Amino acid sequence: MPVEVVMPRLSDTMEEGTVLKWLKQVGDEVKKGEPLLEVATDKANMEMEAFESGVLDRILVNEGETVPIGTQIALLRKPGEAPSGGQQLAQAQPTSQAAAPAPPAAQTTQPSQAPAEAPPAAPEAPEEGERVKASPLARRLAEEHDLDLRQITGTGPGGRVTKEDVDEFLARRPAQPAAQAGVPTAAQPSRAPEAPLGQPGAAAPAASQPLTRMQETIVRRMVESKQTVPHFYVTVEIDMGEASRLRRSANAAAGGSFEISYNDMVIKAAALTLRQFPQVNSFYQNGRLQVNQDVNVGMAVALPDGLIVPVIHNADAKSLRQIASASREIVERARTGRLQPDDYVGGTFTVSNLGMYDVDEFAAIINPPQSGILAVGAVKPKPVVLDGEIKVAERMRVTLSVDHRVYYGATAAQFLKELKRLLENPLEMVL
Amino acid sequence: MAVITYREALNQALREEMERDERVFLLGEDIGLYEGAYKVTAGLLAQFGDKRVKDTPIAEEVIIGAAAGAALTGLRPVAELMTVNFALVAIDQIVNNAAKMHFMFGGHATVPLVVRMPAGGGHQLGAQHSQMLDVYFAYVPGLLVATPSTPADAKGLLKSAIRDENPVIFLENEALYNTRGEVPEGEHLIPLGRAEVKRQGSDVTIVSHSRAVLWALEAANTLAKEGIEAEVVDLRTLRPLDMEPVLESVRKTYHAVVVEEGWPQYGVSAEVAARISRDAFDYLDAPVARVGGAEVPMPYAKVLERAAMASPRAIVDAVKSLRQRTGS
Repeated sequence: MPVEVVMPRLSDTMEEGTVLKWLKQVGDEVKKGEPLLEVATDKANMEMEAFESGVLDRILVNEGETVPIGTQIALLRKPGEAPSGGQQLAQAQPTSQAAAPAPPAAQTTQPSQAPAEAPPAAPEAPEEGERVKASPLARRLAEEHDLDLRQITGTGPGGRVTKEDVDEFLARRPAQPAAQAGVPTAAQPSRAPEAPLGQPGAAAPAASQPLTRMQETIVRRMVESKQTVPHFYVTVEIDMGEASRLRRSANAAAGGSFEISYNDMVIKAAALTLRQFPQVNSFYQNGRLQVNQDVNVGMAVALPDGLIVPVIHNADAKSLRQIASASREIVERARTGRLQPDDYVGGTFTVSNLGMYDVDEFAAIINPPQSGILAVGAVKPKPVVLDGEIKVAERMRVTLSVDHRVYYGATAAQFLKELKRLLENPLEMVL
Repeated sequence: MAVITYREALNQALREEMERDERVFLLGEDIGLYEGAYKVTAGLLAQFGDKRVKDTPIAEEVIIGAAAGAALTGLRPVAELMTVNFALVAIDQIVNNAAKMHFMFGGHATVPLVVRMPAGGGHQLGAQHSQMLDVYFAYVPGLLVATPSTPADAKGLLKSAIRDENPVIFLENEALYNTRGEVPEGEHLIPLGRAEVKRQGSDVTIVSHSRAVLWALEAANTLAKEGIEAEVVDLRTLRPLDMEPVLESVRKTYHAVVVEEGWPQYGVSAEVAARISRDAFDYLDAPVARVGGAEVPMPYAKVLERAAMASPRAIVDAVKSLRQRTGS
C-alpha cells in the first residue's frame, strides 16, 4: 500500500500551498527527513521533508500548482513494493467518483478528511464563491486575460491583488496563454494533464462546460448587439487586380523586411474612407450620436476558444507599411495573450476577415457601440464581363453590417463605393 | 512674462476689468483708503475714485445685499469680505438671494456678482478665523466657486469671474498672497470650470485646489526622489467641477489621493473621490485616499495648529500607503 504525501499545514493561517519544485523525481529513493519538495505557503517558501522512507512512486501535483492543505500531492511506495504503474489508482478513482453522490471511497490514511474529498488532481483552490480581495483594476485585467484571481498571490495592502500582482503573474506565466484561454476558469488546475489519476470528467461523454470569462463576454455582447442593434447589410464586389499587383511589388521590394496583406490594405482603405464618412465612424449611445474624432480600426482575431478585436489606432494616418507591422504585432500579442488594454480599447470600426478560409462572403455582427463592421471574403479569380467580354479578374466581396440607428442605406452604399474605388486604385493609398 | 505676486495678480485683474468696463465697481471693508486688509485693492481708489471703490461699514450682510442688488440692476460689483469666516454673517444673502434670484425670477434676472475673500488657516488666528469653508459655497447650485492656487490662475479666473453672469464666490488664500509666479500681462482669461494638470506624472494622481496644490507639488518632489512620479491636478474651480482631467489622469496612474485644506468629512475630497470611484472604477488599483485638516475646530497653539493641518508629509504618507506592498 503506497504512502500518501499530502499538502501539510505549515503555518496557522495556511489554507493552501503551491508546489514550487520537486526535489526528487519519480523512482528516486527518499529517506525519512530528506527534503522532498519546496512549498510556497501564504507566508514563505519552505522545504518539506518526507515523513517516511520509500521510493517516490507518483507525483500528483505539478510544480506551480496550488492545492488546499490535506490534498494528496504524491505517493511513496515502501521499499520492495511494486510500482503502482498507474492503472489501479487511475481506475479506482473514477469508479468511486461515478458512484457519486455517495462520498468517495474512504481514504483511511488521510490525516485530514475534509479536503481529501476533492479528487486530488482537481483541487478547487479557494472555495467557489469565496471572494478574492482584488482591486477593481486587477479584477478587470484578470478578466481581460482570462485569469483566475484565486491563482494570483495578492501583495497589496491587506493581501489585495493589485495590478502589479497580475502583471507579475502574467510575466511569469509561460507563453501559452492562448491555449489557456480555452480552459474553463473554474477548473484551472485541471491543466495537470500529466497527473496520472486522470480527471473524473475527462472520460465523461460530452459534458457541458462552464464558459471562460472571454466566452461569457462574447455571449453577452453579441446577444446585446443582435437583440438591440437594428442591423442591415450591404455587399459589394471589388476588383482586387490592382491591389494584388501593388501588394506583390511592394512585398518584393521589401525583400522580407515587411509584408503587406490584403487585410492591411482593406484596413487602410476602410480607415481612409471612414475619415470621409464620419457617420460610419460614429457610436449610438444613450440616445445620442457620438461622432468619433479618431479613426481606430479593430481587426477580429480568432483564438482557440474565443475572439478578440485588437485595435489599430489612427489607422487613417498610418502608412500601409505601418499598418502591416502594427497588425502583425497585435495579432501576435492577441494569440499569445499579451494584449495590453490599450491594444483593444477605443475601436471605432471593425474589419473581420475570413478570406484565409476561402469564404466567399459573410455578414458580421456589429461590435457595440460601433456602428459598422466590414466582413471580408477571399480574393478569388472570377469570370467577369468587361467591355462586353468575359474576362478573369481577381475579385473580393465585402459586406458592411450597419447600425440603422446611426446611418442609412445610401450612406452605407456611398461608403462602400468609396472603399471600392480606393481598393481598385490602391496607389492613392500609398501616395 | 512678468513674475509677480498673487496679490499683485489680483490687483491687476481688478484694475484691468475696471478700466475695461465702467459697470465694474468694488465694495468692502477698508478696501479704499486702507487699500484692503491684504492690500489687494492698492491704488484703485486713487485711480477710480470713491464712486467705484466704496468703503463700507463692518456689516457683511449689507455688503453682499447691496452688491447683489446692484448686480440685479445691471452693475458688476466685486465685493471683498475680509475673510471667508465673515461670510457666514452674509450667508443668507449669498445662498438665499444671490444664488437663487436668476432661477426664481424665471431667468429674467441675473446677478453678475463676485465675492472675493481669503480662506484657509495656519496663521494662529484661532478656530473662528482659520477656516476653509469652500464646501459651504460649492454645495449650492446657483453659485460658482473659484479657488486659484497660482498668481496666473488668480488673475485669469478673477477676470473671468467678473465677466460671468452668475454670482461667483472667489476664494483666495491668506497663505498665497505673497507667492510669486509668471503672469501674462493684459488679457488673460481662464474659463471657470477647467481643471489643470500642474505636474505630469505616471504613478499616482494627486487632486487638490487652492493652497493644497502647493503642498501636492512639494509632496510630488519628495516622492520623485523615491522614484514615484505623481501627477498633480488642480481643480481650480469647485463649481463647475471639471473632473475630466482628473479621470484621465487616474486612468493612467490607477491611484488617486485627493487633498484639501478643509475638513475632509463631507468635503471636496469626498465629492471627488466619489466621482472617481464611479467614473474610473475599473482603473483603480487601490481605494481613493483623502488628506485634509483634522476634524477639530482649529487649535490656536502653534504645534497643535500645525498638527491639525494637511501637509506635504501627510500627502507623501497617503501616496505610500496606497502603493505599499506586503512581502511577496
